[in-house]
Amino acid sequence: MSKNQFISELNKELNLLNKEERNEIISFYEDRFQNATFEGKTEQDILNELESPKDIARNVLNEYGINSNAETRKHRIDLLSVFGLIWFDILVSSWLIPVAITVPLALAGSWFSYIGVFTVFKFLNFFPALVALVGMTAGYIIYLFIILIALEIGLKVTQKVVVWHITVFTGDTQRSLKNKIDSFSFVRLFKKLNIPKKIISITIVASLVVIFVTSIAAFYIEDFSFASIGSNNISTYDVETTVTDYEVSDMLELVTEFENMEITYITTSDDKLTLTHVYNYDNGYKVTHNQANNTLTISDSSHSSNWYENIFNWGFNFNAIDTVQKLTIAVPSSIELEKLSLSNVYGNTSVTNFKGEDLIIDTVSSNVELNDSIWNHSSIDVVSGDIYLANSNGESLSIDSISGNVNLENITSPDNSNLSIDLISGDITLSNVYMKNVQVDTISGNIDYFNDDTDYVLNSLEIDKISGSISKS
Amino acid sequence: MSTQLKKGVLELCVLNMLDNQDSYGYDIYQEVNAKMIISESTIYPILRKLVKEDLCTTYLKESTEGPPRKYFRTTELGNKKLEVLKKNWVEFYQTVNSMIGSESNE
Repeated sequence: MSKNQFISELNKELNLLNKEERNEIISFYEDRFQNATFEGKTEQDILNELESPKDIARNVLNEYGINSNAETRKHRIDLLSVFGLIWFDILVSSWLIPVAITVPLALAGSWFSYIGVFTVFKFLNFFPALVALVGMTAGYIIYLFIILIALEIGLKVTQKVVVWHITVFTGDTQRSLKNKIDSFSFVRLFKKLNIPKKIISITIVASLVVIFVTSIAAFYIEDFSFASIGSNNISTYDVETTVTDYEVSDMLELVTEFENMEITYITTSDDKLTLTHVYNYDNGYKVTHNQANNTLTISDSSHSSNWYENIFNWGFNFNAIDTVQKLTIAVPSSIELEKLSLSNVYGNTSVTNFKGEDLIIDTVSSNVELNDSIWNHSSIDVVSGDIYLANSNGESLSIDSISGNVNLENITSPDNSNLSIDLISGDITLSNVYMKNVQVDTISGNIDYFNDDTDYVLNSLEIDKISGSISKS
Repeated sequence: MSTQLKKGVLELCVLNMLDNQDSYGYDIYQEVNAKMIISESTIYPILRKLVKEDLCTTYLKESTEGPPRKYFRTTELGNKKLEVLKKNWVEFYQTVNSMIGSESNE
């Protein structure tokens, strides 16, 4: 220890005294050193004579009636630092809070984009999609490492700030608490996983190499061009599937369940049930026949047996935007169906020449058109999209929609037939609709109802609406 | 002699010493230390306290062997205080003696 070290240490130990008091005590010791040379002593001799700065401080502080015990001594709170700190806190929290909100969102966003890329690449062939999968995964691993480091830096800064607060508000005393705060670390948590360093280094290096290689590869793979996803380049394939294996009888129930499919029902003079699938992206469909109740179900087969296609189906389905899916069902005209149930989410539905017991059409956003058909019970359920029915005969008909127009023309029916229309907005036009009990329930939109045969008498007519005009003849 | 006892009378001893002869910090310490062992660091706050209470003043005095030193000298107030402290001490001393029944003193 040198003289200067001794003085500066003493100065530090006496920090509980005010500056003037401290300087006076220190000046005594400085005198001691100054006079030493004249007494024939070296600096080291003096240092040996003197007590340690810590002991001196304890004695001096005792004389001043200050208990120098480090854990309990009172700290003078410096008002200026407290106010400065509060200003600092306000400043920091003004950006810290948005950052705290944004960071998790960014993390979630990165995950979605990671998944979203799969969705886009599922339009590509297997090989480029695999390259994209591998490259993106490597990129994501590196990204997570960067996140870990960023979190660690953020944590360290936060710990410093917290310790600083403790120091200002409670004094430089709570070492155990400080150590506790300092000891928390994301990196240490990560290290607790006990992943060998070799594996981590190999993972990072391998990921960087993979990113490099896949980036290069992306330039050379033609299919990678995003333009190829655009509709200009989409070619349409016609695939005709003829179903002959099923016994097509009067008892048949025909059911479709699709997400995206334009469905057209027609009849054919042929004696075979024919399914024609037209598409530009092979989302496929599958046909199953339940022998027990003679039900033929046609549905999406997007959950493919190929593992990689399933991976690409994690994301949102962009089928609606870019793909064409059309299914034509041609049924022999000689048979009457037990039930026809057409269900999809989007894609228009058109039925012509249906003859059978039950007719159920269920869709979310698309138009429904029904022509020249005969049924007993029919229900049409739409959320948005227009409904057009013409030249048909049915005993009961119920139409349920939220928005979109309803247009019925030339509908005939046996006695005691029921028509019920339940709508929220959209116009209703009924012309030559000869059904005995008519019930119309809507909130807004115009209702037009006129029959050419003015002699036709309805059993009941109930119109329940809130706004819009009614014209009737 | 216990440090607690020493501390109580240190002010009196130092003041008395300075009343006889002006002196500087380290010299005062050495003189006291020759008669009763104290630590150097207890003497300086006492000197400071004496100055602060106007019982002492300081002045710089050229030294034949080095830089000028800060000398302590008692003030008039210091002399009066010394008398009071001495009187107190004698009273205290007699009281304690009578209480512990010392035979060596009467």
